[in-house]
Amino acid sequence: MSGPSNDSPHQLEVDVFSVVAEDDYLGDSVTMEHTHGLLTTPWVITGHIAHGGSGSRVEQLETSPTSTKRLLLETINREWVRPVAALGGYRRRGINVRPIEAVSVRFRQLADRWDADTAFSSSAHEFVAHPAYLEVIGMGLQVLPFLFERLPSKPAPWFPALRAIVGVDVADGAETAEAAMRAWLEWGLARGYAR
Amino acid sequence: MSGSPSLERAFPSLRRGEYRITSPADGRYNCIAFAAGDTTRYWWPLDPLVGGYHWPLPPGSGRACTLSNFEAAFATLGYEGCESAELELPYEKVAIYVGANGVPTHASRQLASGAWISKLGSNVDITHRTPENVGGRAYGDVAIVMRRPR
Repeated sequence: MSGPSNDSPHQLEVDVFSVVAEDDYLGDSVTMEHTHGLLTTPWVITGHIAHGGSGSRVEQLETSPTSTKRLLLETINREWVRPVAALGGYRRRGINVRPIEAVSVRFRQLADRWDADTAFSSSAHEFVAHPAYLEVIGMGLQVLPFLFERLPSKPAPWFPALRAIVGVDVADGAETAEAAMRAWLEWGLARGYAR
Repeated sequence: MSGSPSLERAFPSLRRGEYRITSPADGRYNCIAFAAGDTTRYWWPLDPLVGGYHWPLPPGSGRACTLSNFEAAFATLGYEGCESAELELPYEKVAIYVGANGVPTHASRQLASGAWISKLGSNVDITHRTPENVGGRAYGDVAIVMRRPR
């Protein structure tokens, strides 16, 4: 995976990253320790972090020449953060960072191919077995912002992918596709994956 | 709405048959739901189901993607097997299609006019003259026709 150049801003996305911080950093700047070498230019994180049962959406990362970055945090909602245990503790290492451009371009390529190949298919078995669909699932949480953008145009076929990526069916029990889409979008919005 | 070259490429019989697009593309329901009269969700035998999907048969063997399960699904709506797709005014008919491997692919429903209606995946709804208009490469052949009193 190649990183962004030093002379142009890039957006990057973080799935899970480690936070080394005080217990209470809400509304405050904190220090993030990362384990990946791509964080070199001005960028924006669209992921979220978990911390001790409360949480913040990462709105902006201020970079510096060193490997220590400053996070500007905006508290959104204490409800949306997954339990710290789900992330293996708030000191868990393992940053998953890819340039947003690369993720979005690849997702669009895959989704367009899948759309074209399954344009008239009603079979969920057929469209979830399509190689492009499986690759989208394999992209994991980082693909969610782009999948959520695309969801309203063709919602129901993406529900199995969403469940596979997230690991639970957020729309479980939804009687209609419209209700299921709302449930997914609200879930995504609360976690910073959807706008 | 007028015809569509992409539809006619996917369904070559539509070139010969009369058809009309009757709705915009909509990814909230599919052909099985549409044939069943439901335009709010996807009908498909996933096991387990996900939110926004529906299948009237119970989990387990009822969720296998087989013609007999599709027949049983429409039977829950009062349909039973019949001999032909010809119009019989007292009855409403559905046709279930299977691909070359015998796996269900599509369903269409007959109107009182004798025309048939199909939802094409997550794409548009159309009316077409015969069940065979949407058969062929995409959906295979009609495997069974069912009817219920109107």
